Amino acid sequence: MLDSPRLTSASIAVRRDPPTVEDLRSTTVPVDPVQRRDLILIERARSGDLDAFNDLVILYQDSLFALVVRMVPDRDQASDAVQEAFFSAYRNLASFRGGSVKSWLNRICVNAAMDTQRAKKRRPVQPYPELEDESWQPKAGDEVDPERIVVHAERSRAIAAALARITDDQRTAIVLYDVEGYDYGEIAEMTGVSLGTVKSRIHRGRLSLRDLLSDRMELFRG
Amino acid sequence: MPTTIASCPSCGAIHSDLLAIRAAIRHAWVPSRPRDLLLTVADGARLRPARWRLLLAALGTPRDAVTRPLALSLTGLGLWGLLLTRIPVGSFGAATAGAPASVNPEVYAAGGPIATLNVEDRAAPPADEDPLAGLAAGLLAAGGAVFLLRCVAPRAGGVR
Repeated sequence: MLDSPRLTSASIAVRRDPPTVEDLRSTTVPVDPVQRRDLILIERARSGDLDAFNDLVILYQDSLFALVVRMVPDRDQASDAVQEAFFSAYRNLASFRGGSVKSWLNRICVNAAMDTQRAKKRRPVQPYPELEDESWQPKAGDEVDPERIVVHAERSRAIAAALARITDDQRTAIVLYDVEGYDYGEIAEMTGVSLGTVKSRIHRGRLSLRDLLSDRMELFRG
Repeated sequence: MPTTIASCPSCGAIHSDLLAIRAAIRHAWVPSRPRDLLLTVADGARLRPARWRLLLAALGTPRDAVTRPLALSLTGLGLWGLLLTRIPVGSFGAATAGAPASVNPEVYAAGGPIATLNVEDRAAPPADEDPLAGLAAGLLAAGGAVFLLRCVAPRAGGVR
């Protein structure tokens, strides 16, 4: 984290934890607490408070990175895409139309990830070059049984390797549908294709994954 | 579909495989984030949009409480102004009582356009001669322009 040149050479505007839902409970915005907190942070960021925007970055960078790294199977490129998405969000704060901040950021990230996919086609890279390194370890406390950890890690690597081998379009549709929970219509709107195309990509993608994982299916049936 | 899965063993096998893969994708670990993505002060300064762009992006949003009433007022005033200046005050009465009186009989006799009006009978002067009509047209155009700006500005300033 701290080896980033961005962080060592430039001063970071945030050196505090983002406000919790309880911190902001006294304000009167008629939405659920998380959304209310996000809207307050957006309003502060709009008025020029960079710390407020960085609070949003802290809150959402992990989930957004998890989304993008599934779509762009390269950690550094995924990280760059999320960074670009945050830049774009900050640049376009004024165009936020209300609603869920998380959904708004998700959409910007999906667009950034698709831009990266298009750029990657022009200069392809080896997907997940660090597949064997320690970056796949779960956070402490996630699993306690070593055997389960090994099986889960093996499954995750097998899934990631298979996902990296299907087409970008299929992978995007599957991640948005199966992981993020968007419906067909939302995915069609986000990716700019028809509803039928989305369904077809998900179906073909799943069948391709099954073919790719056919010799390792016992890993998933347990 | 459920009956097909129940009655066809190979279909059932595919279905259970796909469900297992779907669950595995959902719960799969992902690589950890390699770096923090916070914006620096320099990033903030570089990315902060110009004031005119902020104003443009704010047009047409729910927070914009100015331009819609402004556009409605301008358009309304313009329309009323045009109605009052272009339609002669007595024309409503004339339309019901004596409309044929304003038609030149010679035009009828020559077989020309039936509704041609006699120049002397025209009550309202042309718009370019009436400053009020010009003002009304200007207000109408300004109202339309504000409406157009409200439609175009969010798209111009929006994020993909």
